Amino acid sequence: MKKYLLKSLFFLIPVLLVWMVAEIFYRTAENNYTYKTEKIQEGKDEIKGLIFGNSHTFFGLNPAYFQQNVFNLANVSQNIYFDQLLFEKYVDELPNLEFIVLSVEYSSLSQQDNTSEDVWRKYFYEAQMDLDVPIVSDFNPRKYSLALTRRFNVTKDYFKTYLEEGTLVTADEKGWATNYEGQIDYSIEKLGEIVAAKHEDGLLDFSKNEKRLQEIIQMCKKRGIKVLIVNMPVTKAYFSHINKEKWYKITQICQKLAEEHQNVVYLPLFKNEKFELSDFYDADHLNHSGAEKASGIVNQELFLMQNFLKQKN
Amino acid sequence: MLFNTVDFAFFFPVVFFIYWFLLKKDLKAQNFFIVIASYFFYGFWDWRFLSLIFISSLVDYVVGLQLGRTENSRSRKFLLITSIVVNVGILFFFKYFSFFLFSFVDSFKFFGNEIEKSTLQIILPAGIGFYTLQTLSYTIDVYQKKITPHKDPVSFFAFVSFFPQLVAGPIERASHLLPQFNTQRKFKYNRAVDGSRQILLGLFKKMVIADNCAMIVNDIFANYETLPASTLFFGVMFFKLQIYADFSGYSDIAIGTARLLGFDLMKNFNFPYLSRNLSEYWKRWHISLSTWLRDYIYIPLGGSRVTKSRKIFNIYIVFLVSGLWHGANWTFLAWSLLHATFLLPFILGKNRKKYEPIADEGKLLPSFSTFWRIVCTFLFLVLISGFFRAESMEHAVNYYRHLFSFSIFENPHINLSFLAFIFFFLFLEWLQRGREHLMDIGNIKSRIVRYGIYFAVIFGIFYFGAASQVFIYFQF
Repeated sequence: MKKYLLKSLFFLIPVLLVWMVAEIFYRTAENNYTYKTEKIQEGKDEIKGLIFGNSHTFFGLNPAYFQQNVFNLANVSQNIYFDQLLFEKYVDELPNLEFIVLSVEYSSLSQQDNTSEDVWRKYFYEAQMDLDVPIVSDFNPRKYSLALTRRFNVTKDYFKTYLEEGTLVTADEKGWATNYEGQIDYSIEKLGEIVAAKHEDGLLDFSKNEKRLQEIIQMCKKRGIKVLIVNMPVTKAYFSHINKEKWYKITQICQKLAEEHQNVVYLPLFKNEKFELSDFYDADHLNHSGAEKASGIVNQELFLMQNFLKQKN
Repeated sequence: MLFNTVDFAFFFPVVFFIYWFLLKKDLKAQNFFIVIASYFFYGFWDWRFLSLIFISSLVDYVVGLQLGRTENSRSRKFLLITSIVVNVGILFFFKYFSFFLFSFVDSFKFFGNEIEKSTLQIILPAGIGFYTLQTLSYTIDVYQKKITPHKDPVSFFAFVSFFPQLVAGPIERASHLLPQFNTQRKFKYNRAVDGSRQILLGLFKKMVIADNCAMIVNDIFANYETLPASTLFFGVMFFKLQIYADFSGYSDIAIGTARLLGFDLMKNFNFPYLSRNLSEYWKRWHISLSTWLRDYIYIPLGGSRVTKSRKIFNIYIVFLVSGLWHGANWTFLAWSLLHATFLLPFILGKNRKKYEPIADEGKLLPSFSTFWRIVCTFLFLVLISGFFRAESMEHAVNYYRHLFSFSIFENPHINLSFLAFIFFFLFLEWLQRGREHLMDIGNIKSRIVRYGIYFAVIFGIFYFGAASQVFIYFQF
């Protein structure tokens, strides 16, 4: 037994060393999670607006085009579950917060917790955005080692990117995405079909995420914070492949929230005619010019919102 | 819990240390601990389905004891039927209920009547097909008085739930595995080393070959309408390689893990892609299932000692059961019936050739005739595997329609270096064909070479391992 254990250890040493290096790398190299946390802390006294959501708002809403001081707290595959956790963390830390932008996309309301998208991200939210994430188990070793959350070849690619570019951060100081890395091998039609299929979970139960939105809105109401619910623009190719009945129900919920709560305004941009194919990187992500357009519209809406809410009140 | 996850990498060393260091001298405590560890292993995926394993174990344990107490043939038959009804009933409900319901509804639709499909979506418990066959084999063997009823409930529960082979086999026989639970296990260095080698091999097959093939296959099957037939051909070929690496990889890890705990599990794969005909293939592929079907279905039906027409009927029945066992889908039935049909000449032929177990023994390269037979058998297996992979019959038919077209002569869109690597892997299997498994390298005397191989495999797993995919056979 002793001989076997010693020999096993001999073969495990390189693995353990690689694990250690990877752990040190994840704990020290700056990425979007650490960078956003750092920047929001730096500007917490000046920030008046926060943008939440997934890659659609991460790429699509550029704080530089807003009149007020806005920070984009959206991230790739960030769902309403994490939006709520982030909101709850920062709502009382930002003394001048006046409004938030909540993004509700095709997959937002039906999305389950702990999906394959969250399976590693949840550890980064907890460890690097200082969130208390209930779906992270104390008994899971990944909670204590970020290197265990990703496959070795993914870590290797990150490491390579870090060596080449000196950073893993793909956002600017205001949290907006600066670096689109998607590879497109298909026509826009085919891509629309593929992405729509990827976003289709076949679920029509929105209750859990609707409740979360209600809770965020209620907290905002108590603090006099305005809420803008937005559906970000997508290409026609994407729209033509989604379930229209499901989308109708999603818009009805957004509409209902705006009608029920005085501090809420709904801005549906999903199939807004102002956006052309040249405004997109792919089937559902706005590029720089698209982000400029979308940010302008949202900024304008926020301006109108002030007057509208005054009348509403 | 999956073998190729961090969870298992933490779970198994803990089990190993408790098992060998804390409970070393107490066989009963070791067995009890195996039950606890196995239930934890299974419950880590979904604890709700633990009740199914518990029910299967309890029913067969009690039925076994009762069978030992009575000689009354009616009572014995009743007990056997009880076990079959409970086990097959659970299997049927979870695996086939939706299939038969939807097929029934669809058949009404065909005749112009619409019936609303039930919204009931039944989750398939992992490995239910495997442990059901294992526990059934116990009751049938006791009924046939091939073995005596097992009296110790702890070791019986450990036999049914033994975590290394719980969710994807090998499907063990009570006569082989149960006695091992009643014998004091001793840690043996050579066996542990061999087990570790087999675990490494299994991880390599799963993470490097199967998971990389899966990415290619998923892409080709999702976009087959837009791809040339030549690419579709490689799509089914990669799938055939994926399923082998995936399933035999799981079996390798299972056998290796069990060996580290002092158990011997049966061999489940014996270099199946080196088979020289279909009959040989079925002796080398998923051996534990093939022999189960032979012993509990084919032979009770009369086996080979019947008329020719009855023999044909028996073969079709066996493959029908095999197809249904693999999954509740018409595609599996089509796949199994094709196998049965093409197997018939090898079973019924008067001058059928019986090959020596090790092809061209002692030769570095195969003779032309051996090579030709291996290639033809492999191509046949590749060509019909589309049915196994397709999501529905419609998907399968459309895939084959595109596959058998003139674009077969176009340049395929595939990664040639990866394909070359896989054929190199199969060549290594050819070189090791007389040994227990590919990593059975104890015959290499140079320690440097052996260690070099270990490090190369470890490096390969980490460096070339693709995004994790669930083991395909978990669904069966």
